[in-house]
Amino acid sequence: MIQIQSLSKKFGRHEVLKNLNLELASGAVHGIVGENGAGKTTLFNCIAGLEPYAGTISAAAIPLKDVLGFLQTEPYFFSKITGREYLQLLCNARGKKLTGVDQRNIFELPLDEYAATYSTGMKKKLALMAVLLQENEYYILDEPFNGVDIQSNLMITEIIHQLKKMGKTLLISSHIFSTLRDTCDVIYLLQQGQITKKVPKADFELLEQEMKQVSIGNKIEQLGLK
Amino acid sequence: MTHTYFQLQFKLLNRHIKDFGLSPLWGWLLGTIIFILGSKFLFARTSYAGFLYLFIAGSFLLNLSNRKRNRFLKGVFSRQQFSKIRFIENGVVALPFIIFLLFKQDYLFALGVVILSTALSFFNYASGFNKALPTPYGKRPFEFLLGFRQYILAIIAAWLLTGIAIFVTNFNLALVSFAGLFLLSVSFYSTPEELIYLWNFNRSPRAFLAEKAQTALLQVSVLSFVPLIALLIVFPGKWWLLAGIQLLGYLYILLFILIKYTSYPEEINLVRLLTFGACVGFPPLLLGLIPFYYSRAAKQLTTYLP
Repeated sequence: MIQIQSLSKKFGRHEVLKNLNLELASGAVHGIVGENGAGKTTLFNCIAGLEPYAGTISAAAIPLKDVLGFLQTEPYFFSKITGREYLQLLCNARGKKLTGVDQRNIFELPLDEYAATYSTGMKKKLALMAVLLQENEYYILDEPFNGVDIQSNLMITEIIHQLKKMGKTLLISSHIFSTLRDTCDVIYLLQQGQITKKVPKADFELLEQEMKQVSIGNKIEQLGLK
Repeated sequence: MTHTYFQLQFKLLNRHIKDFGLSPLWGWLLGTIIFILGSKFLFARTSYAGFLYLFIAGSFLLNLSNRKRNRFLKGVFSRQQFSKIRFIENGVVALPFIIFLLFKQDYLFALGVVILSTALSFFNYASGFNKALPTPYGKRPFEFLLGFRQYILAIIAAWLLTGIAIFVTNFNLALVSFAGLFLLSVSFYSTPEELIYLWNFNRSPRAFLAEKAQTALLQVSVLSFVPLIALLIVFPGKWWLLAGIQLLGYLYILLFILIKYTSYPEEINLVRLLTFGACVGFPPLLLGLIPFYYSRAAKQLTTYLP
């Protein structure tokens, strides 16, 4: 379990997270939705320990970062590193031996080419593969479906199901509601730096309707399309 | 339009200097002094300085020939403006080299730089070849793997110079090229990596630094092994000098790694670079600075590797 209490984070005067409280139960898939700039990525960075913050984040595993796989929205790759070497580097970092990588290359990535030359979706898949090969207990997946093709989309959904079966704890953000509906046990709504709603699986449809209503409303009419 | 482009480039350069912790005026002044002193040193130390100079100017000019960069410029400017920009910016980069060569009355090499600069203004190269250059560093990929690929031309040049030194039995040239390999290796550690890479390590700061040092020493040994053996065979009486350079090379890399992580996640600032430079000039400083920066780096890393 990861317990977040009174989490606050400021960038200068701008308060991105405001006294946020959240409890992520073990062995479950947690979704986070919110508008751009709501603070999702900042929340993930704080949990990972990549940003200093006020408040407390506690977990069964100490330090959490050593058993946490973090897939960033836009994974960064050095310009002259191949996919295979990237996987090796990230496994070395966690002291994991990298074996059978070609067999485990389920996304059929060109591992001997420079990762920086991959397409957006391929980069995402490579970074995801790296955090999976690290065999973590916790996963933060920031927009895992972003830019990937439909086949990989299905594959990632299945991977998430599999991780859940293995008792891993996942926190996922996505702008594609259907992907969260298919994978999550619970979805949290993050608005203006606070968790304003916790929605169980049974109420996902209602949440989607509500979000549509709030986000779209009569804005399309305002656009005055002719 | 091209005028605005060069104004913008000048602004960007000044920003880089400011990021380095210097005022632009001091940056330009210091850059000029370093360039002149470096050039004088090079010409004083070896009779092959003209060739080295051509190579150095060429590597600066090649940076401007990157295909992605030029594709962007072609998209923004007309064909005529693009050619003008490429010609002028190559000229600006080549100018200090040309002036120094003219001052040295090395007219042939000065003409060589002019020709090289003009020719490269028509040349674009793709930096994003999909096929990766093989390296011996795949098992522990990072600084040496990236540096080997990025500086492969310089590494080949250092190896070639060692070969020439052996061929003409010039021990001074051999020393310069051999030491050059270690200086190149030091430069592999000059840029701080993205925080996410460091974050991924599940080691304590001290264990992390120990692993970094061990990897660096092993990997630089791979890089210098063949030249060292060749030089020991040809100049057996100078084994102590070669062993000394090898040992100093190890210590300088170690010190630079520690300086890098003392500064992390910021770039290494000027004061620390000058400290390193002082160490190169006066090696006994290493004995005090290595333990000093070791404790500073370990402390700095506790923020990221609790």
